[in-house]
Amino acid sequence: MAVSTAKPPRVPSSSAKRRAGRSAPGGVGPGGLGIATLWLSVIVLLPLAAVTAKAFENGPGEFVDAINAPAARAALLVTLGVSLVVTVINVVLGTLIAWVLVRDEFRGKRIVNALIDLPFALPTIVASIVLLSLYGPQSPFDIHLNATRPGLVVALLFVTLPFVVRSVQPVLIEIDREVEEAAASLGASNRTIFLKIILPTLAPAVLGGAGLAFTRAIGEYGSVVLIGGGIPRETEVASQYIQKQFEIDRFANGAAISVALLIIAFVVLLGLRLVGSRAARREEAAR
Amino acid sequence: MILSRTSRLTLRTVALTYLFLLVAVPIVLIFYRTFEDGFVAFWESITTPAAISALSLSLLIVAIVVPLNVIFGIATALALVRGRFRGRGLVQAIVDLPFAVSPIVVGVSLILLWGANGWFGFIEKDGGFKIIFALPAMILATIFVTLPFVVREVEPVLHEIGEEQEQAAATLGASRWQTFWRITLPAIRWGLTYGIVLTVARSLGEFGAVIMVSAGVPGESQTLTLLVHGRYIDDHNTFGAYSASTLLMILALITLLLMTVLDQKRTER
Repeated sequence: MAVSTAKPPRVPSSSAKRRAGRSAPGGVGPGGLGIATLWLSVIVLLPLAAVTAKAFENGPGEFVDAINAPAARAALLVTLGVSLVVTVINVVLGTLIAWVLVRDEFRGKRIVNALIDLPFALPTIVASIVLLSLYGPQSPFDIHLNATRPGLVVALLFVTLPFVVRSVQPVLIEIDREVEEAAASLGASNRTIFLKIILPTLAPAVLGGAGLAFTRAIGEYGSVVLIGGGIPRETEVASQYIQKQFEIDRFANGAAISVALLIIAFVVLLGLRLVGSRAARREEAAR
Repeated sequence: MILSRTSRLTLRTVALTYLFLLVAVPIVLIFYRTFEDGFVAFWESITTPAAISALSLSLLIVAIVVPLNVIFGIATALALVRGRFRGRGLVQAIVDLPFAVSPIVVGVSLILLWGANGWFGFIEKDGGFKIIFALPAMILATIFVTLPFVVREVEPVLHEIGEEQEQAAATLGASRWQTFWRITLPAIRWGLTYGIVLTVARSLGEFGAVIMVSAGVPGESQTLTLLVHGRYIDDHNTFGAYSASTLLMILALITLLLMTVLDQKRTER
């Protein structure tokens, strides 16, 4: 194919940089930019602006009160607690799975590798049904996690499975194994090699995957709606609380918790970006 | 780092057991429960009038959402890669935003914007055009959650191919449109296809955002995912929920297959 070039991905070609400022022939022009901006605004920004405005409709005091209402606070705490547990398990087992998929050889590895993406492809409500069939009232193994917090954890582990694995895997493939061999030949133990060489290299990827898993977990609805049971102050998560507030027409309350979720996700992602850029700078400096 | 055989096997066992219990066993169990009474029972359950209407509604939403996402997604990707303007970082962040927003918050935001008492409530009140608790809102919700896919899959390809060929075409007198159809589009086709597959999968599978803005009338305003929920919760029809789930699962497996094939195509280049 004539278009195939061996350039590394995500790097604009040098000529692109040279031509900066002039309108590119393959570009969209100012009209296209306007359409794209309008599209993003109508679809994404305006709805989020509307929910934020609703949350602060009666001033910041009401906003704080809505979040501090006992049931709301309980839902937020359950959400954050469960999401944190899920993230920690993902960090450990996700890294471990990535390791096994990259460094180990066994039959059927490709199938296992494809299995990792399944939770992304599977609708969340199906995930809920799937997990209920195994851990619900009709459990063939007599394991009942229906309407319990462990049930929430299992559901969230299912939907967040790919994040850490898929973020660590490529880094692990790219890692320079000669450094490990050099360390080993100098007498370093596996423990030392892991802690001093592998872990620091993997850390940004693990953290990135963990952050995505966490933000996904705090907002999740479909996979927890059936297995969680939504018992107030027990297993009711924030998204279920919001949904209930809207059902009883208490829009401002629901909007306040929505904004709280948005803020948490925003802070986590911003933190990740800062950590990521710092790691990139350090790597640059090390070169 | 060279692991002893024992530790290697231990790690492998832990990883496989976890995946087995979390993913493989539940899915096999659903397939088993769906087909234990034979294929006919499954077929009858997914061809009831309510199920057929749910499938057609899901497909209708996909048919509307995909072209919109393709057109505006490519435009946004082109603007981000080829355009030089202030606030590009901001636009990048907005494109990623839907990934970080809870589906319920998506639904809630749409109600507050397009609902009868929302900012754009005049459309429903004065224009008589119902958006929330009707098809338009289900489409808006689906576009919201799938917006990043096409942009994010097309963008790296545009970076990679550079601008030389587009410039050459322009030098030889090609118009913007000709350049796009003859040069840019053929170059981004696999990335675009991958983005479309992801969009279709997510559109078929979206639940939280859609249930918030759907009228939820069985046989009328239920998508496939709402049908699963409705059958399980409202009808106590566990088998019906299982068979509708299996239908969605088969669609998901096809998606997964396409993703694997397309991923190889993309990396082959």
